[in-house]
Amino acid sequence: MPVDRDVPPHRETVRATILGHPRNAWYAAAWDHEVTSKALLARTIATTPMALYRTQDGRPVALADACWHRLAPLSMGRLVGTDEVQCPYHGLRFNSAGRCTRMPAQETVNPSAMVSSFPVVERYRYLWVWPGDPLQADPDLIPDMHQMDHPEWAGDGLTIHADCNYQLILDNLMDLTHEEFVHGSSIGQAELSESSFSTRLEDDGSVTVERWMRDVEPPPFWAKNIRDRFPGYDGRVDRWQIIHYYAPSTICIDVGVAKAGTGAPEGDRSRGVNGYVMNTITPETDRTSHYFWAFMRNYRLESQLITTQLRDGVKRVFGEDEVMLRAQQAAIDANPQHEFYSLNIDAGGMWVRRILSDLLAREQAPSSEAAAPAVPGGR
Amino acid sequence: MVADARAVWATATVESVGTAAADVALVRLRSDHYGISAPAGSHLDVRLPLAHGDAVRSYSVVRSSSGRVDVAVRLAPASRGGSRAMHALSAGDTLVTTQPLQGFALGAAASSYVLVAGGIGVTAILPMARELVASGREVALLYAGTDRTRMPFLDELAELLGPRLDVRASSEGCRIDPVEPARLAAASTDPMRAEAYVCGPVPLLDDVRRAWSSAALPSTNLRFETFAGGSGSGGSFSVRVPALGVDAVVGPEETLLDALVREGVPVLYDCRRGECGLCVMSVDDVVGRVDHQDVFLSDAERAEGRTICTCVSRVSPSGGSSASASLALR
Repeated sequence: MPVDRDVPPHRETVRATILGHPRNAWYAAAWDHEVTSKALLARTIATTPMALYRTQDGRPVALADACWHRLAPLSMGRLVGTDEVQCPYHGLRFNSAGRCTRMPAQETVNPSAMVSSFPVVERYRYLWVWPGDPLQADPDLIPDMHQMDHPEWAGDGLTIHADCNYQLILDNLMDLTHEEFVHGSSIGQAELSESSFSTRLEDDGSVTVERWMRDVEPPPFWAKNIRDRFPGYDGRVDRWQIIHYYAPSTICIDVGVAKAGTGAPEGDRSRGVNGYVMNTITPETDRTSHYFWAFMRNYRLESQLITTQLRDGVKRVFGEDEVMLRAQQAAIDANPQHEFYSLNIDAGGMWVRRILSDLLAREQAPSSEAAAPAVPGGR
Repeated sequence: MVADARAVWATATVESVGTAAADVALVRLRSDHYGISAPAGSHLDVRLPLAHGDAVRSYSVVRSSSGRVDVAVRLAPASRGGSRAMHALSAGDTLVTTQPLQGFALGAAASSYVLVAGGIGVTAILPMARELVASGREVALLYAGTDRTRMPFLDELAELLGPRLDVRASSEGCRIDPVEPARLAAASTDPMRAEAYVCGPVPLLDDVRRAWSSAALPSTNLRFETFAGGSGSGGSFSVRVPALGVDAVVGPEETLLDALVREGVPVLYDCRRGECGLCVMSVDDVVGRVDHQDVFLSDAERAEGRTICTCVSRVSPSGGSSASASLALR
């Protein structure tokens, strides 16, 4: 029976392709400890090579990593004065704003001489850079990752240099059904693909995917964690995974288990253990990504042993993802424009793609200047 | 912006030609290679067929969107012919230009902004004012010209800036005092992080720069762009290069560098706006005075009088009626 619809039936086709990334966004460029006032760090963020350093008073700086003069990488140069970089080739100097302050063998400085200085904010143990229009760089747009350095949370993380487009990592994290198949020895369990989940777009533009597994045997990783808090516990658990996506590429996953039937699904997590898997993925090139992650927990804060065990455990688990992501990227490259079939489990990843596509379309669209007035007195 | 520095030349079509003020044409160009929008401070290089061959002129992008770029061109009677050629354009004409190039980028990190526009220099400053207002920054603009009827974009700037626009028309007896930008910066919330952006004739810039430096403000916070031949003293003069047997007249519509190249003097050059210093020659003797229009030579070097930046500087008579220089390659 034909039905009138407000919106035509629309198939959200997903293709095997390389997804671009918004430039007007904050991306984690480095861990706070990686960038110092002693040496320059070269890192490509959103296809832009950058030279990262700190001024003598500790302020982080990100300059385009190519001298204005002959494109020599500034990251091969050295830090001089309070906030300057000296080009390794001909000694031109640039300050933290990217302005040239010295040219060799002349008394003046060419007024055009500068390199881009990208906005940088230090927050949540990361340095965030904004590769796009600097005037739009609002620090309030940095996604909430407060667990990273909040006194009620403890933990640590690492960086994966992933050989795939950032989108594939977002897909991976938005659907944790794969844990059953990729991570069978640690966090996977059959109930992952047997339990239902809900996916919703929130009012603030974030996306949530929520899954509860009630009254299940904990997989090895969680059996150990709950015993860290409740020594000797070997009973069943209620397990949760609540995935929060913040555009363009940050995913914080509220995970945990509680003694079965003690009210965790209803909000009482007091007889459980709670972790947050913090992930922020920075496109490096179209086919490589800097994947910053950490595992934070809100119990046994005093135990450095647990911090190290969790970091190393998650590192092994993510190593399994890395292998899959690299292989998937190779298959995509071998089948460009292949139309994917999508499954019910892809809802989270599909929201991410739609949000990113909208952001990209907005960046490609003409600015508000589009409605330029007609030339006065035109002839 | 290093990434955008490579000029790509392509054909553009004149979509319309209008009037922005007396003697100021507003030319709207369309080309697929212009991109979505150009950042404030960018310019187009335009190739113009002039009497002595093709010449390249730079014009600030006053507005851009989706493959369209507006430039505003003042007809300069003593010009090198570029402005006359631009004023002769009409809709449907084509010409060859670069995409918008960035040479005068607006920094985002300043605590406040002082904009200074002298004459047609407002073309570089207007998009900055728009961007700064749109992002809610502290900004003030000093805009100087000869007469309000000859000063383009007054209405748009007044609407944009309200009382933060300060117009100085010399016909009304008002001029910019070169110490004003430094004073405005010093009076702002965080003087060491205040920036000034100046686009205007070189003498104005020179004075502003000296005042900025005496106020002990950071020299890198004074940003500037100049336009070649801005002083209008385009009289002819003679030039000799004895070592090469050259003896020629520099016409009112050409630069000293143009004349030297025409005479086969092997002189290097690049920027053609008095910035890079490649075209500098030694001055062995001068009748009249050297009218320095560059920003390459320091005050001390100018005072010494031994060098000239040939792409923008000229020789003018002082007292007597003749002007000439004897030059040598360095």
